[in-house]
Amino acid sequence: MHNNQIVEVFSTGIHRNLQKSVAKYFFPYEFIESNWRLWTFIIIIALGSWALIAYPVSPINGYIDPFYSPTVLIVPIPGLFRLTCYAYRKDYHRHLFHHPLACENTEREDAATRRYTGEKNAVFQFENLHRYLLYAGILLLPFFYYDFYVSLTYANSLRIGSLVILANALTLTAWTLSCHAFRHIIGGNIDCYSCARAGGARNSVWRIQSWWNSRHEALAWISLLTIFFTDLYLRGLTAGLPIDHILFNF
Amino acid sequence: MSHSQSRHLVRREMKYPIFLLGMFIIIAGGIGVQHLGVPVSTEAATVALGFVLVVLGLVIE
Repeated sequence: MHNNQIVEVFSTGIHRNLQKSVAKYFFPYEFIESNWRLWTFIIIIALGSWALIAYPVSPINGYIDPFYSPTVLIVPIPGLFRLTCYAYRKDYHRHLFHHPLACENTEREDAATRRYTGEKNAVFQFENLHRYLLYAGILLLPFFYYDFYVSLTYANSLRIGSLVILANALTLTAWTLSCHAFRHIIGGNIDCYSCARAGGARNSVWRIQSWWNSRHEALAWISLLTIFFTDLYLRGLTAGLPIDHILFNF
Repeated sequence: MSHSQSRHLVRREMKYPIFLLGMFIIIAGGIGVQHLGVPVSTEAATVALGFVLVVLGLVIE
């Protein structure tokens, strides 16, 4: 029997047994099948987390690395906020779990034996906490602007590094405020704008937010890349690269 | 399956491995080589390459 066939029979057997038991609610298919994508990703994340702990970046020239600012103490909150984000959910279901590959896609030909359960099982129900993690995410935003303020007052000048930190704060703000849960809070929960108090104003804000919300996936990735870029920029500065310049003094 | 469809499928299959490789190069190249005596400029170039691969992995479809 070919190796792939053995894996297939093994996986199918697990699925069949799981379907008979309540275990499927606690161990979704996505976590137990032979899936190199998911496990290599977990290894990379573990390696990256170890590297961040083993090689910290001290504050340099008034710049504070986003990974090592005081907010790092509550890093599980922004971490979970990002993990439960609708944009990332789509991406990790498609590219890590490979299931479902797209809406109404039967490409895997296992739709009958391995239905998409959405957020019904115990693990993926945590994704519903996104709306509450949003509040914590909004509370964290001012700290990133404080880091920008500190970088300005360090030498009373605007430097390239300050702009990098500002870009990080702005992209994080854009991503957080374009959240689907935020869209619900500011106006999506209203059935009749003309009946609601300040309905016209809320409708206007909702329309503006909807424009940003339709770009939420791009903003999610841009903000994540900006965090990494800021971290790498400050690591470069620490290593002595000549990449920081004063633009003007106050 | 048309030629453009098959190219799309190939790109979609390559998307994740390119993203993953970029992440690995950033971590291993940027931090791991600190112990190998590699010049900072080489290290920076390695990290930049990893960053480009991550972005490429995200944008190709």
